[in-house]
Amino acid sequence: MLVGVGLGVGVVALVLTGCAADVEPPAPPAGVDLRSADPADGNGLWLRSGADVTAIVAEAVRAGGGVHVRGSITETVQPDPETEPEPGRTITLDFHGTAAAYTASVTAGDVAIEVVVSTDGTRLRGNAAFARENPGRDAGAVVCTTGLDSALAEWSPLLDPAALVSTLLPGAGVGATAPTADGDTIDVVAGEEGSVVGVLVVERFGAPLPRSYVAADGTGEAEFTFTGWGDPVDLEAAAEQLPCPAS
Amino acid sequence: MSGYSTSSSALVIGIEPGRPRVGAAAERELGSGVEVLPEIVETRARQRPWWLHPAFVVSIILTFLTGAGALAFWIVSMVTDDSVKVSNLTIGAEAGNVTLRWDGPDAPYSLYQVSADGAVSDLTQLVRGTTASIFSAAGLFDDGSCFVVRPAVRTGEVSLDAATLQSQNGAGVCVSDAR
Repeated sequence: MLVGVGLGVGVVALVLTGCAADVEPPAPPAGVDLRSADPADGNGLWLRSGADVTAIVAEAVRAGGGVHVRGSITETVQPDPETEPEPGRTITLDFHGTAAAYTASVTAGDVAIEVVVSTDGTRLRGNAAFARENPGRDAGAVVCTTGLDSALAEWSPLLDPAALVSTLLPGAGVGATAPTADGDTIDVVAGEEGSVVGVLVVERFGAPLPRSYVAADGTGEAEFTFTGWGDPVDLEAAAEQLPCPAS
Repeated sequence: MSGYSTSSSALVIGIEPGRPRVGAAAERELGSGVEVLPEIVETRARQRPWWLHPAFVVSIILTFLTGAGALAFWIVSMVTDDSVKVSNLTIGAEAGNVTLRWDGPDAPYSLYQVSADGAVSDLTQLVRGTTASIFSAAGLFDDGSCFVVRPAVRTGEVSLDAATLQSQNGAGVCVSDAR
């Protein structure tokens, strides 16, 4: 009898409270612990890990507007196991602008190009080594193309900051370290635990735009600096430096 | 008829006057002397335990009913409490993060992110009083996201629909409103 009374009370309570079947409540974002995180500490990049970090930084770069990227990648060669490793060929990059409109000069080994890409098209000038590798091009001559010059394809991802960042932070071994008490940057570390390969320093507050990148391992070393986020780029002045040949 | 009653002493009915017993032979007892029916033993009335006393049972039932009624009333009044209401929800940027501010009494609120494709995630853990700062670089939202703030006692479906928000005493704001 008591059980019946209990059931009755329960039914009455249910009816009174109107506990109909509710919709499934939304879940907090997966893989992020927000309870202990303080939004005053920064933009929260360190809450994520792996490919998420790379995607977030790349997205910030994409939305960050024009940027001035300078940097170099130097390979380390060891022709003879007996000798000390020595620096080999070097790629240097000087890039102004966005992935869609930029001016850049790139050298790779003895190949050097200067390029201006805008909505009007592509202007590209290469040196003698470039002309050797690309039949049909003349050394020192500016080639103007409507749209994108096909010779630029082999230079990606150097000429797209977001792709460059994605290349510098590969795989799942990427993690952002939580910021220390002061300082306005976050270190994004690429490489597995214990064998850090590269460190990308990004902004701690606001969009995680990169500031610099340093990497070194047995195959070479790389360093990039990212400055002037969002600054306008004077493409017209750059285009005047590469005048199209009179047709 | 005359010789029947008085002339002979051999014919006697009844030994004594007024006792109509036939014959003076050994008296037979009624019954066979074997007990057929069980003996009826008087059982003692069992003492009822105090917790089965009808008065106590009724009292307990009434107590439970009263408690359940009070609980139900409390829940109903909490759910339909119109005093907790989100108003003047604004979105802004502070220290590089998105900051939501709203007006309302000191009560628990819940915060949801509704992305452009309709997926909803629960960001209630970021609510501090009547403000919430949302990490900008933790992949919690994007440019197409909207936020819904409503009293935490509401459990209905999260929606940006104006009528739904109003019925839940909530408010919504979109990232695009901050620009």
